[in-house]
Amino acid sequence: MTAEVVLPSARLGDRRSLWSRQARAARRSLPKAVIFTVAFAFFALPLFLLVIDAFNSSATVSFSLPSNLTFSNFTNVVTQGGFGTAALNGFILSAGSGAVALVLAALAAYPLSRFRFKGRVGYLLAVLFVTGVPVTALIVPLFEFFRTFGWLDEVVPVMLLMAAFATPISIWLVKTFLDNVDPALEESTWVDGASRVQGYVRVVLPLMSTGLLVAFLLDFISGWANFYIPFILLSSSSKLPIAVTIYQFFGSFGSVEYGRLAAFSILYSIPPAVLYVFTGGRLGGSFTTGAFKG
Amino acid sequence: MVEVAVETSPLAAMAASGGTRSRPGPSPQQRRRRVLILVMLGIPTAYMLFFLGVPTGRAVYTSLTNYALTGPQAAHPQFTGVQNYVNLFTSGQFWQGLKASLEYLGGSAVVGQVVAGFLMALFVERLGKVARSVLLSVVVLAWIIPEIVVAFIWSGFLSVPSGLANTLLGYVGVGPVSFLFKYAMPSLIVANAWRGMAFSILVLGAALQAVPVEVVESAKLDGAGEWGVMRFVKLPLIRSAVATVLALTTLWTLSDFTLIFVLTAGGPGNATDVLPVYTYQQSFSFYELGFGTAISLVLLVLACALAYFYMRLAAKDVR
Repeated sequence: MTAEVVLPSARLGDRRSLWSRQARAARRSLPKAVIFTVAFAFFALPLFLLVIDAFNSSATVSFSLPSNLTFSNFTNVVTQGGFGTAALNGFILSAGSGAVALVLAALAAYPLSRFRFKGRVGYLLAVLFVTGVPVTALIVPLFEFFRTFGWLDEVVPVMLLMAAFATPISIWLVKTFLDNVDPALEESTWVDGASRVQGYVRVVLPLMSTGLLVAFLLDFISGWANFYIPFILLSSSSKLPIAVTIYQFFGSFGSVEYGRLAAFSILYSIPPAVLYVFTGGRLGGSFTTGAFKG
Repeated sequence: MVEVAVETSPLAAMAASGGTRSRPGPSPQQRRRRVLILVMLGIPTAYMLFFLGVPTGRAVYTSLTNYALTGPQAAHPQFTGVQNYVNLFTSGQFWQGLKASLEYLGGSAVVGQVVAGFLMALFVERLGKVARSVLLSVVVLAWIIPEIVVAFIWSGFLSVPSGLANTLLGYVGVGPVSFLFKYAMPSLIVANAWRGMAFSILVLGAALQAVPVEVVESAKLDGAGEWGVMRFVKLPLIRSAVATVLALTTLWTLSDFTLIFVLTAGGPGNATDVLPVYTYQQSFSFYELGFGTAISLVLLVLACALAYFYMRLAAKDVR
C-alpha cells in the first residue's frame, strides 16, 4: 500500500525500503510456508514410509532407514506362489463387473436421455438414491442370498453382484455423456432406414467412446479396491482377488515381513494410480455432477 | 413430473408421432417407443432389483427369525417377531456401536474431511502453481490407493514402540504412544481423514474457483473485507457443493468397514465397534445371522436417510 507512494527515484536509491519490503513479504509468506510444510508432511510421511519400507529388505514395523536400497521385496512378492492368480482374479472381478455395468448403463441411459416420459425424473432420482446404498449394510442379506443359490465361493455371481453395485453411478455417468451428444447425429441415420437402436449403437456409442471408457475405468478402480464383497463371499485361495490375498498376507506376516507387505501394497496400488490419470481425475467427482451450481 | 411426449428435435418429433397428436390411442410409432423404453430400462432395473432389492426384502424377513449360521437354527429358523430388534435396542453393545459410529462421523466426516477439507481448499487456492500441484499430488495419491493399503500404511506408521510416528515423537522427547490402544478412535479419525480429504478439497476447491470474480470484486468495492466476502458472498454460492460433499462423505464414513476392521477390529474393548464392524462380528464371528441382519437393517435405514438427503440435493440438476 505504501509502495505506491514511494517515487521510483527514491525506490532505486533507498536500500532500506527495499529490504523492509522483502522482509514484509517474507513475514507474510512465513505462515504459508509453515502450513504448507505441516500439511505436506502429514500427507507425505505415511506414503514415504511405504516406499522406504518397500525398498528395505529388512524392514519391520519399527521404523528404520534402509542401509541399501533393494528390489528384493518386489521380486519376492511377484515370484511367491499365487501372486499372478490373485492379480488375475482381481482383474477378472473388476473388468468383468465394469463391463457388465457399462452395458446395463448404456441400455438405461438411452431412454433416460432421449425420451421424455412419465416417471423419468423419478427414475433418475431413484438411481441417484441407489448410488448411496452401501455394501456394508447389505452384506449379511447378500451372504444369505448367495447361500440360497449355492453361489458362495463362485466367481461369476460375485462379479455380477459387483456389477449391480456399479450400475447406478454408471447409468448416471453415461446418461450425462449422452446428453452432450447432439441427437441430430443419430436422427440423420434414421433417414437411411436405420432403427433407433441401430443409430445408437453404430453412431452414438462410438462417438462417446471416451466417456464410456472413463465410466468403465471408474468401475474398474473401485472394483479393484473392493475388499469386503470378495472377503465375505469367496473363500478358495485360487479364487480370491489381490485385495483379499494382500489382507491374508498382512494377517500372517504383517509385522514380520513389513518390507514385502509394502512392496505388495505398491504393486497392488499401481493400477488404480495409473488408471486414475486416464480418467482425468474424475474419481468421486462423478457423484457431484452439477454440485457447483449455486 | 407429468411430462408430455416432447422430443428433442422437430425431426424426431415427426418421426415419433407422425404428426397425429390428436388421434386417440397410441400410434405404431408411439407403441414402438414405449416398448423400447420398457426394454432398455427394464433390463437394468430388473438386474438391480434382483441383486439389491430381493436380498433387502428377504432381510426384513430374516431379521424376524432366530436364523443362525450353524446349529439347529440354521436348518429350521423360527419366526421370532421383533425379538431381534428388542435384543438389539436393549443391548449396550449396539448403543456403544452407534456411539462409535457417530464419533467416527463427527470426527472424520464432518471435522476431518469437510471442515478441514474446506480450510485446505482455501489454503491451496492461495498457493503458487508448483506448491499447489506438489501438495495436491500427495493428497490425491492418499485417496486413490486402495483402502486396505491405507490401513497397512497407518498400522505401520502408528506402530508401537518405534513406528515412524513414534520415532518422530521421540525426537521431541514424547512417547512412545500406543495410538491404536490409547487413542483408538482419534487415530481412526485421522487415518480416514488422511484418506478421504482429497474429495472435499477437490470438489470444494472447484466450487470456490467457480465463484465469479466480478461478484467478489464488487463486494470488495462495497467495503467487504476478506471475512465478509467469505461469509456473505462465497459461502452462500458454494452452499450446495458443501451440502453435497457433506452428504457423501457422511454416507461413505458411516458405511466404512475396511480401515477400522484392519486397524482396531472394533477394539480396544468395544471402543471403535462402529455399526459395520459390529454387524460383521455378530454375523460372521458369532454366526448370529438373524441378529446380524437386524443390525444391517438399522444401518441401512441410517444410510438411506443420508442417501435420500443426497438425492434431494442433486434433484435440481436432474434434467
